[in-house]
Amino acid sequence: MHSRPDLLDPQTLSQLGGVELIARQVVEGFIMGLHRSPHRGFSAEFAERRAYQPGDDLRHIDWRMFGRSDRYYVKQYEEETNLRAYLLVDVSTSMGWTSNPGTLPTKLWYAKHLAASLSLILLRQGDSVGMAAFHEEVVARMAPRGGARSWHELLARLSPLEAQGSTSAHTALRDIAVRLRRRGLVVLLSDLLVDPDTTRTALRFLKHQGHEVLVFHLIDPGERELPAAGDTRLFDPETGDELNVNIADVRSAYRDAVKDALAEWDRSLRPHGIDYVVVGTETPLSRALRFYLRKREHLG
Amino acid sequence: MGFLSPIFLLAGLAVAVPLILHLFHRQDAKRMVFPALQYLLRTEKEHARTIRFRQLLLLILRMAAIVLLVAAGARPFLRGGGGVHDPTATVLIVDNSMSSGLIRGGARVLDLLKAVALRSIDRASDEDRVWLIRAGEPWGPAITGSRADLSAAVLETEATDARGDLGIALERAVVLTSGSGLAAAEIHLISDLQASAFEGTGSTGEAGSVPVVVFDQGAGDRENAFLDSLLIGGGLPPLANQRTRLSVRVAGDADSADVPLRLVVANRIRGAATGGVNNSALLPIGPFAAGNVEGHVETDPDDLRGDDRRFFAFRVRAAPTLAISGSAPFFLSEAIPVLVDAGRIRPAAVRDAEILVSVAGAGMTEAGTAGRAIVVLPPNDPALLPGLNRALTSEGIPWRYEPTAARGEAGITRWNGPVDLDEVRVRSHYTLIPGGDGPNQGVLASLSSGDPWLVEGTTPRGPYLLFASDLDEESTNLPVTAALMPLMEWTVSRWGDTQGGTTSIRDPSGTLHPVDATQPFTATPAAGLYEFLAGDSTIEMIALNAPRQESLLLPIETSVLRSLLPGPATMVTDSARWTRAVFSAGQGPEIWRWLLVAAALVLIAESLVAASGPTADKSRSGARPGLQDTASD
Repeated sequence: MHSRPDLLDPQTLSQLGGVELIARQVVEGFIMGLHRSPHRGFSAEFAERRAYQPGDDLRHIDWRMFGRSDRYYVKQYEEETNLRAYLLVDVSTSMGWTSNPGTLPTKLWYAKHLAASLSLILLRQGDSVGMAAFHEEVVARMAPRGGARSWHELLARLSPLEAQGSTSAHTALRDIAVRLRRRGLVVLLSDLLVDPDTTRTALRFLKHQGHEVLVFHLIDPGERELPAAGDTRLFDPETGDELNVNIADVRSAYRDAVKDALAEWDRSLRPHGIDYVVVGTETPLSRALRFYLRKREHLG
Repeated sequence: MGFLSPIFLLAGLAVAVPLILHLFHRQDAKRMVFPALQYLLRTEKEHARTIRFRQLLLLILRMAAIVLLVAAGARPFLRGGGGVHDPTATVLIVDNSMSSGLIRGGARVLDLLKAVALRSIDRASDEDRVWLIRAGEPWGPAITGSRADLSAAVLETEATDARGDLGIALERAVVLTSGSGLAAAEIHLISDLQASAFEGTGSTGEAGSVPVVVFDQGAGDRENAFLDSLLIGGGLPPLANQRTRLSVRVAGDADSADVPLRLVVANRIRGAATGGVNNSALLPIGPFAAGNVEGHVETDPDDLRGDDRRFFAFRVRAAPTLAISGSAPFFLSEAIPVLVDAGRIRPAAVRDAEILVSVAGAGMTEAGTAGRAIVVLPPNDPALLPGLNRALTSEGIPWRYEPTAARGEAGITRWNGPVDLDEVRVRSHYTLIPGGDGPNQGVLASLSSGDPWLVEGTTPRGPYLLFASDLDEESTNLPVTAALMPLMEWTVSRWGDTQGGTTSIRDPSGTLHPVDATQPFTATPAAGLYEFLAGDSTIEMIALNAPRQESLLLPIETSVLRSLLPGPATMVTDSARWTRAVFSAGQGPEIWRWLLVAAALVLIAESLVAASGPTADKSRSGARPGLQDTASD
């Protein structure tokens, strides 16, 4: 069993407690795994020196001090709030679905905890974080801001959200686009059971405005693979559509259709500089966090 | 195909289950929330045709599986497929008549027929009742017993020189099967199917009563050259020291070449000639001393050897003594001296004559030699009939003459003697009435009215011959025809000095058969000379020859054959297929195992089709398409 919470699977993780506790533990474990100090950044303004510790970036070694004392010191800088991140959380009805209730958390649970973890990392790195929750309209919003208190405020907005309504991602994205005046990082957490064309257009619009866009496509394993059943009447809670189908008849074709849809998202977003990653709700949160970290490093 | 448990077929109604489920069950399908329905809608739309085909395929496979399982449960079997069968009363008719000795393609036909019969026996089960009828031995009883016994009997079967009457054999077979007590019956007709073997055959049983499996070689044999008939002295054997002629007729294909003929008497060649096909050849024979003369005429052997030799035997005796009592008709009185001059008869007194010609019963009551033969001519005057009838009664002859009201000329019918009586017309005659309630036996010739004209018989005193009309020109034109002298000669020569007391018969192979007066002697499978013995003395010889019908090898037409058979016919032309054709009145091999295997295969196919999704999934599960590995390093 993993001792680091960030590596725990969501099923186990969901039994640890609320959003705050889980997110904090995940982030602590995640940062520990990176072998980096969580308390000091390495941005522009010098703060102090300290003795070199294994894992410190060699670029920050103070070679002058080494010349004087034959000891390694690294330079530390005051953290700088230079990134405005905006987390968009899809809270439509489909996000409240799990293929294995009682065992596997919902996509909304995963989105909340991923958002909480991401925001904690962002805030600890001195960035400012805002959020918006939406289905066919924006139901909760918090303007980007930094500081530890911001995280609690964000959690307070995030925790009570429940899955409801249909999805209209492009509406929320356009709303954000209007509100975000400074360029920043926009992170979309959604199952993308939306109108693909309008959503892609909205995402590309954000990118066009100069924002970095990161899309976490949350997908339940039960959406990749149809359940083992025979004749079934499937019901879409958002659209109300129903379909009588024999699962065995469409299993293979469905699998291909999902694969094609994911590939289509990737194909339509990546050429525009929009990062797209599929995250299964059965996978540990650290995967998504690691992807974010890479993205953050590219942003400087 | 049939079923041993046909009731199980009712379970076939279960085939409606998948159909009903296919049509209606999906309306009652479980409702499940599934947000990613948009992917499925796309799939359903794009793959609707494939899905429908797959569903239809599954439906067909499931229905096929049920049908196969139900069919297997009903225990189906194939008819005539070489497996087990219901107990069957079976009669094997093996034609071992003379024609079965034909050599065809270097092999004897009978050997092929025997091989076919053995196949039948091999196919028979212990529950069957099987009889073997040898058509060439019509006197022999049907043989039955174990399969080993029957096989041995078949192997021992040899071609006879007798005629095979397949009509009679079929009738016997029908009788045997009907009395067997078994529900199923079958006749195996194993023959060369000569058309002549069915001559005189009508329907051989109740229509559709017994199925017949017929071995039909389908080989139309060309006509066979053979010695058709043999006649000595025009039907009258020579008397002592007389020469006569032997006439032998050669029959066969008109295009055949002439055949050599050899006359053999007492194992010595006594003459030779060349016989043209469909013509008669004459060979001089005699003179002989009194006694038995035997011999044969032969030609070179061909593929059917049984008819290449014809035997003869006759008894040469001294001319009989004859006397006429009463007023003989004119022409008769003129004919007798001619016969005397020819040495055919010797005149004698009434009491010493071996043959007495009695006109109106004259002289009949006088004492004569023992065994004296009497030829009776009726009087012209009906008033004399009572006296004649009294004389007949006193002689023990059970016939009497009565006047008849019939008028006009009448021809002679029912005559098969050696003298041609076709031109003879009878203008007046008496009615010959048998005495008591006795049967109308001994009639040698009748008039076209049906009245007897010539009657023979034997009393303890001797034989007699009764004419229904006088032999004068007013009663019949016989005296002015060429038939008078031959008829007179035949009349006086038909009684020899035959002795009674036969104790045994020696057949052509030399085997002695004791004569039992209570049983008829019919064991005459071989052509040749049969000697009637009294102790060590030969008292008579008879030559038996193969019937000419056996020499006619033309096969019967199939349509005609079918009309003569007692039931539906199965024609088998290939001996190798015989085994599968016989014992069709029952089940062949059971095929339920094959159906189960087929059902299992269908179910496996159904499983593969039904589980095609999950199966494919396992092969791809490791790929997780779309999950970005870039985040996992």
